[in-house]
Amino acid sequence: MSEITLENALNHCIDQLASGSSVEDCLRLYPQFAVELRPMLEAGLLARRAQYNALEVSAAQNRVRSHVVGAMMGQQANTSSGAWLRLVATFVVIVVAVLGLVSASVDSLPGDPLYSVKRLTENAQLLLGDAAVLREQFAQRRIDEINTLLAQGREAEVEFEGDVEAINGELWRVAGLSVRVPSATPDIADVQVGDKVHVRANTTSTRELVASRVTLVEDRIAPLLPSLTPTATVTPTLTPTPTRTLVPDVDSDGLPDSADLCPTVPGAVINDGCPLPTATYPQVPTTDDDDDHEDDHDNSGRGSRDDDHDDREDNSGPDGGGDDDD
Amino acid sequence: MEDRLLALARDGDQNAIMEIYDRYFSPIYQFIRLRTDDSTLAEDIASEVFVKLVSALRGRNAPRHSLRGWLFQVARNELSRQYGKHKCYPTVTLDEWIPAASENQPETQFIQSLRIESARAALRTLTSEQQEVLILRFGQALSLEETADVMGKSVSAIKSLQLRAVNALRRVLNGDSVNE
Repeated sequence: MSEITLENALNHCIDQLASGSSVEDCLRLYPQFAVELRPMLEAGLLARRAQYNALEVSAAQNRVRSHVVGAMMGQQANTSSGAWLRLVATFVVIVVAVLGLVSASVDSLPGDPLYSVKRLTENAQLLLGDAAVLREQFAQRRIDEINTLLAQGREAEVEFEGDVEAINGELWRVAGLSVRVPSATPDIADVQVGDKVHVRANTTSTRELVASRVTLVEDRIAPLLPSLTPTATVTPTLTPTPTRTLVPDVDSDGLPDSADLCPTVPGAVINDGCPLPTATYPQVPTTDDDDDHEDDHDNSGRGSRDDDHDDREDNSGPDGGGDDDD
Repeated sequence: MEDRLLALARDGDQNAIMEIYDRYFSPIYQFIRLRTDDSTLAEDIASEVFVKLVSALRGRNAPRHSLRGWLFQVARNELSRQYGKHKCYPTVTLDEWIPAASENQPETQFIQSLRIESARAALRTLTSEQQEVLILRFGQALSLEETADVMGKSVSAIKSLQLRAVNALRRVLNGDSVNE
């Protein structure tokens, strides 16, 4: 107690007052300083008495409350809009980056780092535009790319689609491109001239295009077969021989010369490569009011054309009809 | 309790923020109001204090402890910003301080009989720090340590300051011309 100073006593009393004690309680703790402490504490307590009335404080509190709530809500809104802005900015950056890549990928060729971007862009375009027109454009683009690679003697893995225009042993012509199709290439037995195929191949440094896989996309002959079934003579010729497309076909009727009974005259497969006699075609209604033939609509349409062109060229009619079916 | 409330507020609990507001608005407003004679200004400064709290809570730079001290510190800074470096707070000169204890009236009795306006005027005759320490220690019941934090001083400095402040106020009340 000998170390107690007026300063310490005052400090302790202030704490006591803060915790609810009275001035008298404090003075009892420090009787030796009571005379001095009393007016000091009473003076200090003026800072408490000087406080503004509860009515003013309450009114201010109510008014300021709306600002604080507004700040809370406003910050939420700012955070939300900030998040949106960040999202939009990110999107813009991505779009700009993608557009840059897309732009840079336009002239890329198979094997180039950006080629996958080019193909990805094409797939996206297919979803957004006229798919049929675009497919045609892109198919031609593949051919152009291969021609460029061949011209540059660059090795790359490529793929393209097109009609089989000629087959001469291992040398095929597909979509205007000369392709070597090794005899060991799987699933090529059924492919014949006129078929649409998808080809996976490699360009070589010797400027050769070598197929690794040929997939039949459309068989130009098969769809015609059902339309010919009315005649009993059709059936035996339905099954194509596996090897015929790999041998020369001078008249380009789809039947190899070795199996073609008329190798120099285009004919029907079902007639061993010879032109079909007109009598084998289904009966064609001659008048539009013959309702009994409604079920023969498909055949009648084709028959009508045949009737209009009753010559040997009519044998290409089924091919033309096949194209129609496509 | 205060720490729990603060933790909730830091986690974005809006109810906790409003509870803090309801609990501390009055002391903060009183502190500001006693330092200025403009109620509108006091309201604006008090508003700024709590908006800053909301902002600090969002920005994760709110205090983890001593919320009350933090609020008073912000209020003090806002006051200082308002009144500038020279701390041109409204003051009452000793000449303006009319009431004085008469010789035949005990000092304590005179103090107790003072009207509120006179008490405020007497306080404003003190230096800025003297006013602050009395308001914080006597008026708002802050601890010595809290007061030291708010005012940026050591505990011993606050002890000395509060002693000087009460003595200065006594002299004013007694009509003495010397402030300290």
